[in-house]
Amino acid sequence: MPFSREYIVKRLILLVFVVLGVLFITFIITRLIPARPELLWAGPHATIEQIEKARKQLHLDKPVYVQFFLYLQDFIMGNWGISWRTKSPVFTDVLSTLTATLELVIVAFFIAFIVGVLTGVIAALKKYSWIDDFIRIVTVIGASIPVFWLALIVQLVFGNWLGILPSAKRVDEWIVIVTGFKPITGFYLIDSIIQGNLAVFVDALKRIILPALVLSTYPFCLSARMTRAVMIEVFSEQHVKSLIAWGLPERTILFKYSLKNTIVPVIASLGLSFGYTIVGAFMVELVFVWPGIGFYAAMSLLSFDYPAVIGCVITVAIFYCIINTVVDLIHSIIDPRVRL
Amino acid sequence: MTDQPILQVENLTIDYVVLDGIIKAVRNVSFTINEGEVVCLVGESGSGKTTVGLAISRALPENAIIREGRIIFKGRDLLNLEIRDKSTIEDKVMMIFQDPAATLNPLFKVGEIFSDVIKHHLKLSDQLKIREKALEFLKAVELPDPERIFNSYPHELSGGMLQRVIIAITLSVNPKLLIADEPTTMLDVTLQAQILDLLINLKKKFGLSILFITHNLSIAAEIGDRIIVMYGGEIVEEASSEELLKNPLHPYTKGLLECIPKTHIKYSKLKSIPGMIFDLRNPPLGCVFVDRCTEATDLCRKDKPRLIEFLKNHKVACHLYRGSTK
Repeated sequence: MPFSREYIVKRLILLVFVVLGVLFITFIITRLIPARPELLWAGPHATIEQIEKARKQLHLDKPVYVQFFLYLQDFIMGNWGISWRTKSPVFTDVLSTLTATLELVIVAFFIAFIVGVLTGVIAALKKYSWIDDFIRIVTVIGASIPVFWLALIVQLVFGNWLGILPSAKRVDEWIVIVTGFKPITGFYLIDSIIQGNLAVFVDALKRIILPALVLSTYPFCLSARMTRAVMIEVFSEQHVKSLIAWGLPERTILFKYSLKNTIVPVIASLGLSFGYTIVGAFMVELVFVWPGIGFYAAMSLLSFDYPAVIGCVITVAIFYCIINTVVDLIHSIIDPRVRL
Repeated sequence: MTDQPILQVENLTIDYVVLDGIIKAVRNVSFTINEGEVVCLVGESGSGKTTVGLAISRALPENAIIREGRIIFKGRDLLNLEIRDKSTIEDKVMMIFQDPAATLNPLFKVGEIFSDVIKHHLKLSDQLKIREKALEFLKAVELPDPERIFNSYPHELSGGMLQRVIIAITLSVNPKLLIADEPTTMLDVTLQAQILDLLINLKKKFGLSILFITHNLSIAAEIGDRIIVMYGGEIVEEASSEELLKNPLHPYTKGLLECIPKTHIKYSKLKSIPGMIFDLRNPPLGCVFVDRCTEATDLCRKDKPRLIEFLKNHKVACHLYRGSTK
């Protein structure tokens, strides 16, 4: 392996500090919002005494820094608090919604990477032709369209008008009940295959297509444009010219050699776009009623559910760090000059 | 060495189209290379020497336009061949470049690139035989421990080793004419001599003709049978190495020779030719060297001197040598 164990340990230690920082910032920001979450906690018909009791219970009567340290203590112990909205532990809430989001994001990134790189390669090969122009225009538009608008339009057109694909939820509850499907890993596509449950697999696949396509729009456009730009640059490099001079077939030069040079920066940029895609997931999940962490976070935000919001933000931050570490590791595997 | 020309370049004129005009990089260049001969193309930056090399190996960048001329290699005009035919020519023109580190793809092992080249060129499929063949070529370029080099990534090798590897790969394609574009410029002086020796040895061993492009007259004198001096996109003088060093005719060649530091005189001031090369977008009407020439006359400004054979096998383009021919 081109990377050492120390490197991974170092990145994990760094992760702890990132999480602490994110924790601190989100905690302060949520406390700065002039809202009275104790009202929500105590319910709509609570008396003043009950509200006062709720304040004490939630430590809202204490100074902010005391609140922070109390929270930190619990957080490390795995107690991420009780969601003020759902009244269940945030940790389990986040875990149960996380897999739904991960499934969506992984499928979206998979589409974005494969189709994006292919599109970029075509654009680079047909540089300055009408195909290239077309791809460039489409990818600029795609990268600029707000994801929530696209989600609504796609849902309207494909879900409602054309009625080709279902446009809400991960799987039909009836099919789940009838076939006795039980999630194991939380990734429905994988679970249904493990259990040999074709009906659930097909339904889950149908339902993931639209939100995944919408979510993949931005990283797809990014990777297509990136691939085109990098590949054109790679083509002009001496090492490609020398392969041509040495008489290797174009196919080998393109798919074996140049593509490998191109893919490194494309993967890096996709890794960086992960954060943006998660924000997109918030919108997409809301529109497609996808029971993921984005949907959960959006609902929690709307109801000033501090512990849930922080739990979501921390989870996303951890994943962002992990993704970027993985990207670095992939980089070191592809490029022999990089040793971590 | 025979007097059979392997390469004839006739009236080669090449322009580069750039944003703010047309660079007339090479104008009316004609020369021949005989079989087994080492011809050096000497000139400073912007003299068009690399462009000539690229044109012969048909590796000109996209913005280059060949306005005129023929490049006849082994009886076939390279400029009229379809690109597809290029791979079918058995006797090839190969080029090696200045920067060995940029010539090999950094993400692949030397052996992998070499194997692919051998596989496609010699139509071999047996991995062991390919490897054997590659190691043979690596040995031929006098590399120590070819096994290790075969399994190395380019960044693990030094510049000199890389240049040898590149020469080995290039030779495996079986070229008849090798164009070496300043292959030693980025190397240490000690390595330079080694690579030059190697090229001369390989020339004999593989029956190569070499077009050696350099800005360094002393290297040219060392390696070349014949030297062609270019300035501003035109040939100004051409002669055998000994003749040119002994009896330089063109003021530019004289200037170049004076620029070589003299080691036997201590504290001598380093010489240079005053002035800069002209703007290649507007080449002068008359002689290309007129602005920097100490002996320029009105005639030099108005009339372009033709390349004439002033002495036997010694061509020069200068009005100073107008009167008598041969």
